[in-house]
Amino acid sequence: MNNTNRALNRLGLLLLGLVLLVIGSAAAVAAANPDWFERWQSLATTVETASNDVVAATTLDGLGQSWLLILIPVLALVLIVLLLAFAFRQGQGHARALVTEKVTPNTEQPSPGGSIVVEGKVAEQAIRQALDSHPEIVSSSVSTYLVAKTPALRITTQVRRGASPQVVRAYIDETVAAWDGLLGREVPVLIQINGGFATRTAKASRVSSPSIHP
Amino acid sequence: MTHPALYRRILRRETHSPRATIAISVAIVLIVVFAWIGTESVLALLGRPALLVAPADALTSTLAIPTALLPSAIIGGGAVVALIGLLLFLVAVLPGRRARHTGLVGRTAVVVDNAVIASALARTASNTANIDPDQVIVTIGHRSADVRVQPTSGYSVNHERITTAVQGQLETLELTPALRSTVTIEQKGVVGA
Repeated sequence: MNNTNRALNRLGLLLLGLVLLVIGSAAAVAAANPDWFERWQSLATTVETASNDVVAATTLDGLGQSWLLILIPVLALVLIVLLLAFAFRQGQGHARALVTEKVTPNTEQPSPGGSIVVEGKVAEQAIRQALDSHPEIVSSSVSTYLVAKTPALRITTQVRRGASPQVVRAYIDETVAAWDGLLGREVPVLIQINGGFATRTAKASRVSSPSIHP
Repeated sequence: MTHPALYRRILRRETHSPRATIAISVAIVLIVVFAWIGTESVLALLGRPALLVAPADALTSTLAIPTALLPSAIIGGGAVVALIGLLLFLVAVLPGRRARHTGLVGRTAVVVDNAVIASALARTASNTANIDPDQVIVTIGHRSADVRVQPTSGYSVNHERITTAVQGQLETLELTPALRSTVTIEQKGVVGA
C-alpha cells in the first residue's frame, strides 16, 4: 500500500537493461564478423584522435588540465543525488492521521472553528486488540497509509495452519464494522491474510482438528 | 463498495511485485560507479595518483578493446553484458505476480497468501478423508489448486467426497483469479499414520 513509484522502477530497469543488451550484443556481433571488426578497429583510432583534440581544446591555460575533469565530477554528483533520492523514495507512504476534519467558522451561529484529527494509532490499537482474541489468528498488525491522498488502513494477519480465510475475513469484517460505528465513517481497509513461518510452525487449532481414525 | 477505484489500485499493487529490491540494488551499483568516476576525475585534476585507473588511461584502454583483446574474448564479454541487460529487461517487462489471490471486494478488500489457501484446502481434504493434515499436499498455482492425498495404508479414501469438499471450499472463497482444483489419491499409503 506504500506509494513506491513502480512505473519509475520498471522504466529505469528497462532503460538500463536495453542499454546493456544493445552494447553487449553489438560488441559480440561486431567481434564475430571480421568485416565489422576491422571497421570497429579503425573507428576506435578515429575516436582516439578526436578525443585527444577535445581534451586539447578544453584545456584551461591557468590549470593545465581539461575542464572536462571538473564537469565529470559535477555530473557524477548530480546523478548520485538523483539516484539516492530514487532509492530513498521507495516504500514511503505511511500516514499518521486517519481522519482530518476542518471545522470552518460559522457566521450565523458563532463557532470558533478549528480542526479535528483522528490518528491512525487509535484504529491500529483498537482493531489489533479485537483481532488478537480470535483463536485462528496468530498475530496481527494494523497500519495507516495514504493511498492516492486517501487515508486507508491495512490489516495484516498471520493465521494458524489450516485456518479458513473466509472465516478469518468474516471476523475481521465484523471488527471493521464495529470500528466504522465507532468512527462514524468508512475508511478504506485492506485485509492481508498471510501464512509464512508463523503459520508453518503454529499448531493447527485444536478445536476444529478431527479425530484421526475411528 | 465505498472506494471501488481505490480498492482496484490497492489490490493490483498488492498482487504484483514493486521491483523495489532490484531497483535499489541497481541504484547502489550505479552510485558506486559514479562516485568512483567522480573521484578519479578530481584526483586527475589535482595531479594526484589514481585510485584504480586515471580517466585518460581508462579512455585509451576502452578504445583499445578491439586491438588488445581477442575476438573470442570480446564475444564472451559482450554476451555476458547482453545477458545481464536481458535479465533487467525481463524484470522490467514481466508482470511479477506475487503468490497471492484476492477475494471479493465488499466493505473491505482482501488478499490471501497462496500458502494460507493451500493449508485451508489441506485441512478440508484431511477432515473429509479423516487423515492427518500432513498426508495432504496442496500446490496452488495462478489458476489451479493441486491436491495430493496420501491415504493411510489399509484405509481407503473417497475421491469424490474430497473433490466435492475441496471444490465447495474454493467456491465459498470466491478468489480472483478462480482456482480449478484437481484431487489425486496417491497409490502408496502411509504406514502407521
